[in-house]
Amino acid sequence: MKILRLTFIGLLAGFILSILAGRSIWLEMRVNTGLLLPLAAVITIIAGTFSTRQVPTLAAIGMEIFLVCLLLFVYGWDPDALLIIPASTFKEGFFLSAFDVRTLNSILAAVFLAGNAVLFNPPESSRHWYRRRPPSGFRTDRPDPSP
Amino acid sequence: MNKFLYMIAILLLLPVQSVFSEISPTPDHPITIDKDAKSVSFLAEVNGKYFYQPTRHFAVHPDGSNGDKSVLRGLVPVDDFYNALIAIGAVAGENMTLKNKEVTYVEGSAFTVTVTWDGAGKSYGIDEVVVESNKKPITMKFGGNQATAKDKKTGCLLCLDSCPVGIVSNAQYTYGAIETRNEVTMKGNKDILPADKTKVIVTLKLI
Repeated sequence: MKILRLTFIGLLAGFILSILAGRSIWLEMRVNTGLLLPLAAVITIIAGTFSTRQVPTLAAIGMEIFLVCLLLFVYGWDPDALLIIPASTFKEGFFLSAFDVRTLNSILAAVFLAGNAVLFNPPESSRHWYRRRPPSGFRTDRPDPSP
Repeated sequence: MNKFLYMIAILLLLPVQSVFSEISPTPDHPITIDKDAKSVSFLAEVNGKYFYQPTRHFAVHPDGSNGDKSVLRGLVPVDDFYNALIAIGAVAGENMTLKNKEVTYVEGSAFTVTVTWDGAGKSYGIDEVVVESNKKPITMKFGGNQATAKDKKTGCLLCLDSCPVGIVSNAQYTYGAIETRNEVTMKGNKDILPADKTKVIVTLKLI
């Protein structure tokens, strides 16, 4: 589960970086900026695997909001641009040139839904805000050991 | 009698059909040459990304290193494109080098470039399908550059500023006008061009 959360956070970071990199025409014409997606995902997985800290859910949600704001800032409220640019970035990053925009957007939607499902379903060890119910059949009426 | 007339009609239509198949490029034969009209047509595919991102590439073969950086993915190999232009009598300028590219305007035979597709209803000029921020007419000239193109393997067919690698490029600007000096920006015209991945036919006619 931790790997999935790290992958999703890495993809979010990759999207943000590739959109920022794409603002430079010089860079955009020389480098496959979409490669920042798998690169950021791999770096995040490696860094997260060696860290003992929990994967920060709030930071991931903040990145999602930032990504949406960045897309709106750069391309404005143009639904066509918002359908093409993330799909093209994803296609170039993962070399999926055989797929059309509609298929790529379906894959992206599935990735984002799954990523959010993983984000909002934190691991057992981090569920501090409620106590687990005892399983059925568990005896709670133990005799008091004190004399 | 009727059968005889049908046979004559079919025999008469066969050469007409073959003439049409020569005119229109297909995925199996992505480039066609019309020596009488002094024109070359090739099959390409729209890249919707460059309706929204500036680029300096108009058409690039998808196997080249710049294959995903252009308004159109030109589905014809660079060598075939170069040889087709030579076959219609175009003369390469061969004046662009990697050293002089920023101070030299491409020379060579000039072309009118048009684009059409199924349902377009007409052929659109390159000035209509490319949004050029300075509104200067795009002047495509046959730079040549076959050896450099083979060496660099960029896949560049038509560039939007004078280029030492692209076979044909725009003589209005020197190299770097778009990428580094910000003299102009160019994008595909989303109000005219069809959707991403739509097949189009690009025609270059010798002026």
